[in-house]
Amino acid sequence: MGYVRAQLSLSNPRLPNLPRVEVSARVDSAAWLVCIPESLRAELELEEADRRPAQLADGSIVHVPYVGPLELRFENRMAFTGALVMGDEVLLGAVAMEDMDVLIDPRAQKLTVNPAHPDVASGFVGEVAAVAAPPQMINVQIDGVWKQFPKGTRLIEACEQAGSYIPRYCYHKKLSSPGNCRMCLIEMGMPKMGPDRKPVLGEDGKPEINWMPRPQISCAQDVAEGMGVRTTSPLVDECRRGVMEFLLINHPLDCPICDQAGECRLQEFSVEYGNAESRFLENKVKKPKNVELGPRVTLDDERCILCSRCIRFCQEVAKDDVLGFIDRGSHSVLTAHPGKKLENNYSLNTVDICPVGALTSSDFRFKMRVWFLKETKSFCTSCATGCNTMIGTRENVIHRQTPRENDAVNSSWMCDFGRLNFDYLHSDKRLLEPKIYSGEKLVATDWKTAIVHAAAQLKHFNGWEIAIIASGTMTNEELWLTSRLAHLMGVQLIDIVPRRGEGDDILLSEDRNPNTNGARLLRLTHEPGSQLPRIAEAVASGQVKALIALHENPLDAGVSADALSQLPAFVLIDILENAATACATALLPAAGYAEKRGSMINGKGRLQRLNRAVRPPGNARDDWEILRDLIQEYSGQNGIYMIEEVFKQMSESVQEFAGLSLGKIGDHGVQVMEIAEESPTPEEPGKDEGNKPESERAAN
Amino acid sequence: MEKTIESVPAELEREMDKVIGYYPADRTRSASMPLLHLWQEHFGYISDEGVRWIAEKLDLEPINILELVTFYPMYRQQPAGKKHIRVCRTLSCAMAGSYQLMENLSAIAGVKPVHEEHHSPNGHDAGMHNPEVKDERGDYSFEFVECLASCGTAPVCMVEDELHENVRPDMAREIISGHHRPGGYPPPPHPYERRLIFGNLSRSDWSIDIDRYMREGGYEQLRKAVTMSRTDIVNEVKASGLRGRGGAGFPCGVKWGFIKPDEKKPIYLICNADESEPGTFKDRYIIHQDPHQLIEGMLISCFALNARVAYIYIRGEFPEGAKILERAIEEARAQNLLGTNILGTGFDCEIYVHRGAGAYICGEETGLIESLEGKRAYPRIKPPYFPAVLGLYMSPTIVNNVETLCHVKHIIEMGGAEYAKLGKPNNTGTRIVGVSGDVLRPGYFEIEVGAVTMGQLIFEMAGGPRFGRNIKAIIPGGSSAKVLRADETFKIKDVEMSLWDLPMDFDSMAAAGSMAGSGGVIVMDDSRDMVWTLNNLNEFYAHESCGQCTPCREGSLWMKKITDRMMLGGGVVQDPKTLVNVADNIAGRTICAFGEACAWPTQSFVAKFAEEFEAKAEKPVPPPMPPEYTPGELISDKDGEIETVELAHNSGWERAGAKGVV
Repeated sequence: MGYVRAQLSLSNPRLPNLPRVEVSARVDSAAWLVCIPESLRAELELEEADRRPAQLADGSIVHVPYVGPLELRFENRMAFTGALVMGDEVLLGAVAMEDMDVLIDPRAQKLTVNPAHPDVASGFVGEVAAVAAPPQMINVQIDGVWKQFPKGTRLIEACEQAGSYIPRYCYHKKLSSPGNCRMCLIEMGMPKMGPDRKPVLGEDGKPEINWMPRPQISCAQDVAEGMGVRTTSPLVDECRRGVMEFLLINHPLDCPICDQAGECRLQEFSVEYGNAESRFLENKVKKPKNVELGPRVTLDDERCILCSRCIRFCQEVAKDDVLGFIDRGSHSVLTAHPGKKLENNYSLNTVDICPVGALTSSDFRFKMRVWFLKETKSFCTSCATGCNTMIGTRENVIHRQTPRENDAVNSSWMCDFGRLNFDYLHSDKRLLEPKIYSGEKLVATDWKTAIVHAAAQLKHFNGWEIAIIASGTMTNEELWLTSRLAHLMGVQLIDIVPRRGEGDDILLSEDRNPNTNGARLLRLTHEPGSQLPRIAEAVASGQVKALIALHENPLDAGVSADALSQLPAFVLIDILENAATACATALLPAAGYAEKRGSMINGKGRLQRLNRAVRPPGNARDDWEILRDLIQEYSGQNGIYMIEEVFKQMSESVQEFAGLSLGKIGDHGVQVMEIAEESPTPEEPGKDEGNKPESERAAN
Repeated sequence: MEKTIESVPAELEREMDKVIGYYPADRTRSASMPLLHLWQEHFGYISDEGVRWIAEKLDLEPINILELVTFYPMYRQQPAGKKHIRVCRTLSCAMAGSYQLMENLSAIAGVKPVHEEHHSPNGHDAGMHNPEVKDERGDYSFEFVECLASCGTAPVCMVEDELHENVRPDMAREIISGHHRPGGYPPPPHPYERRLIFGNLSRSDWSIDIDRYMREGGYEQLRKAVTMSRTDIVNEVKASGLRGRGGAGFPCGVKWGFIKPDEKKPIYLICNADESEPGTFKDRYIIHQDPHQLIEGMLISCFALNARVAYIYIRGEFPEGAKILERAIEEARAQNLLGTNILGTGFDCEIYVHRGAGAYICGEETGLIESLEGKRAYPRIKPPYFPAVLGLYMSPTIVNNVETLCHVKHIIEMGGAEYAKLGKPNNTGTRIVGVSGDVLRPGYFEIEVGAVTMGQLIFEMAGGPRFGRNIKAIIPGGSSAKVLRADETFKIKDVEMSLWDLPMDFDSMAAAGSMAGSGGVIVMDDSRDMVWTLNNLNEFYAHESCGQCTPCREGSLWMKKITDRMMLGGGVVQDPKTLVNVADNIAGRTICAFGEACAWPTQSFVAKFAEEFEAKAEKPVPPPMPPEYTPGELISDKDGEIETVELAHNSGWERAGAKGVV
């Protein structure tokens, strides 16, 4: 993957007689400003207005001329801008892209006008006005009270917003509406029209409503002006009771052995609309049970209420049309073709959206009653997407991980790979005790001794003799403390290990590090992995005598086993035993993603917060505390007592975090960086090794 | 048994490619059903290999095809016997002895009759598939199928693709040996009749080829229509007051008017030839006896609507009809009445025949559209999917019944205003009513709407009841219409009248609390058990419910199970009440009108023949159901008492005691 390029037309608006210059510009959304080479400045006779410091990719600062005004044109878009004179080609940065309302199309790898408003060539004032204008509001009467909703609101959602939750099975707001369960029937009416074709107004000045004799479903219609809805009338109640009874007559009623019990919509709505006794005297329809739909999903067809949510999910979201109904009428059965399994990477979402116990997770089933689960809001750290999750735990054991809705990140879904990637936290390879190398082997010790020992080891060496291999799986707070430590020690050789895999167009990112952007922002890396060859070389040559590795195995980063075992000091902060742990001179057991608080920035620049769902096992500690203690021991600087303080200090020096705190990140995160596409990573040594998810690295 | 299909013969694949061409290039999923038919015709049944082959051919997932194979009962997943006989089991045929016929056929082949093979008193049933048995040597297989739309010549059966009519149970041997011949139509018109649609049938030396049709002025109306403006034709149809003859009676001109004149998307016309409402058998005869009339009506309609492609969705049980229509289309094409630049007008129009495969729900227009798109015939929700706006391929689509489209030809001939003089205001024109069941001369009669009373129809035209019998009940418009008692009186426009005085028109039937529906009149005499009758219909609806939406899916089978148990002697006192309540919970709460169709018979039968239902529901209500209880216990019990099972923790059960009464 190279850089995206775009054909731009440049001119000097002050000198309209000068010919326009057509150039192929490099598009770099990580840069802010427009840069032009000196030759172009001369050609367009642009005036120097200022001299500005510019930070180069390697972190160095140079002062360059700032010239302008410069007129940029791309397709039907234009913008006036200033430009830095530097480099040997035209570079289009994020500010001008924003100005022209153009985007990088990551699939086509080209610059395009924003497809949301393709024709806004006339200018942005109209667009801004349109954005600023409030959405058209629709008046709807719900249970006798007139309320307003934005145009396009689904009726069932409007009722919910108005406080009248309408029971539903088939409706899911992220999927199409088939209207098949008939649970959301309500009474509906439209304004009575007079002879003048205008609504007849009642005494209260509101339209009179013509109620339809038949109940209507509320899941497939948007609100309309003057619409009336009754959600609690006797007819509505009768409808819901009728549907409830129908759904249960052929249902096995096996709640005591059903995994869905406790979060089952049939149970929930039975409380309000069910009958205590059944008047169904017949035999129930027999259907297949315990069907393995795929490697991760088990189906009980007798529990299935044929709502088709799973089918629609597979068609519409997972793009893997693998499920369907066979047979007809009451004998209809959900199934997959015998030759095809539900094995796409999103299959477990069908379990989440199944309103009943038909689809269950083969991993979670029979493990734990859901009402015993303590739920902690967090996010998935298996790739750069950072899908929001709910971690279900009981007695310090994680039992499941489910997606949590966040439209800015993952809608309501997550991939199976990420969802099931938590078992390693309970692995018997977890490092449980701090250990130090004494003489010939690693011996367990207490934390104080371990920290003192580790700091003492590092103090023997100066900055150029120390290298740090950090990780894109670390939180911002940890990375920031790491960079402080590096600064204190004067370390120059520092990088994170890139971790890449195959991505998809749905949620899974090619970048399997959850916090590459945090590492970039906090200057632990410019390009993940770019420093690793130098580090490996320096370790091998003996220039580097002390290595600190955090949540990464240096062997995966290209450091040879030989060189690693020869290192005078190797401080390793990690969670799982691996080939490198035996070489450590100080081994400091840390916490996994579900065992700590902290923040990360996902691939799209969103700052999100991890919350602690379980305690770290044994004597393992939260990373930030380990790092803080190391810094304190190394430098004698004052300690920090809470992770909130780490964030506070970080936010004082990192502009993107200004005004934020861990608390303010909230459950849904905050956008802190604008990232139009994933930056390409050049081929790296050690890349293949680094591909493996954290859970698999234990094996090495 | 699984035959390995090494390769699909080139000729078959050529045929398939031709059929795929009937549908827009980006909508070849529509060809799923035709391809399945071709596969089955060639290989005898649809193996998993067939499913996968067709899926690959159409760039679909195998599940997409498997969904169809299992939804449409005509697709077989197992080979049939060398001679496959389908016997109609729905009401008119059942009354005429089709169960006895099945028993006789089975006895000859030495197998157990399907209805015994697949029925146990415990209420297990064959599932959604048509119950079927095959003899050991595989010489014969017998299948019970739902209404074959030939109720006037009941009982009927199909031997392979050939329909045999008037098959009395004692003719079983002739059917098996292949000697029976289809029975004798058409009868001469009755003096009360006014034949427009069936006008040609009574001509001497009538034949269905295009030359004969053109000798009777065939395609003259098309020639006339193409000289008219589109709006004029639509206006003529509006002026004619023509109401749809499919069942709902919706004004045809109004429907056509929903199409925007400046429509940019392609417009489709679909002829609904999925005639499968029990009691209805008119479209079959139009297609079989006068196919060009339908083609001409469709071409005029296409021209009026600016539809360039039309499909005839013909039910799978009409294989002969499909062939007749295909031949008629080719004849018309040869005369430049169809195809490109029709009659030099520059108007292009293609008509394709698309075969169903045994699903009543395809008669519902949005279910039909889904089926035509190559999916399970799940009716669409309205709003938003009104066919005239978002129909076939999400384009504006008009779906009209066969008879309705034929009337268009006569409206052009007579002029809308003149046509409207036939019949009564708001009930214009002629319509074909079919009388079946317990009358001496069952059959079809084309009458001016409202010009004949029910009494005239039954007693004078259809010959009245059999000797020594009295008529007990009448279903006036297809099995879905509410039943009327023979001794009922109605107040129509303030006039008190008996059932026999009721005029045969849309509004009078509606005023009498039923509907004119599809014009299928089913007559039951006093020998008929109304619980048995309703059970027969309930079985039909339970079998035909598509299963998409909850109330109909679960309710239709529940009602069938109740009436089934009542027929087997297990009725309990709450059954009539439960039946009506279940029906009430279905009607008006479903996606499509099937909800009403399956609920109305139950609601009306139980209300109007309460005494018969009560007589079959005398057992005490069983106590709160312990898990050990099965309907079988109810049925097998002889003394009117229900065996009880100790269930100490359930106080309700304890109180019920040995009598089973709480």
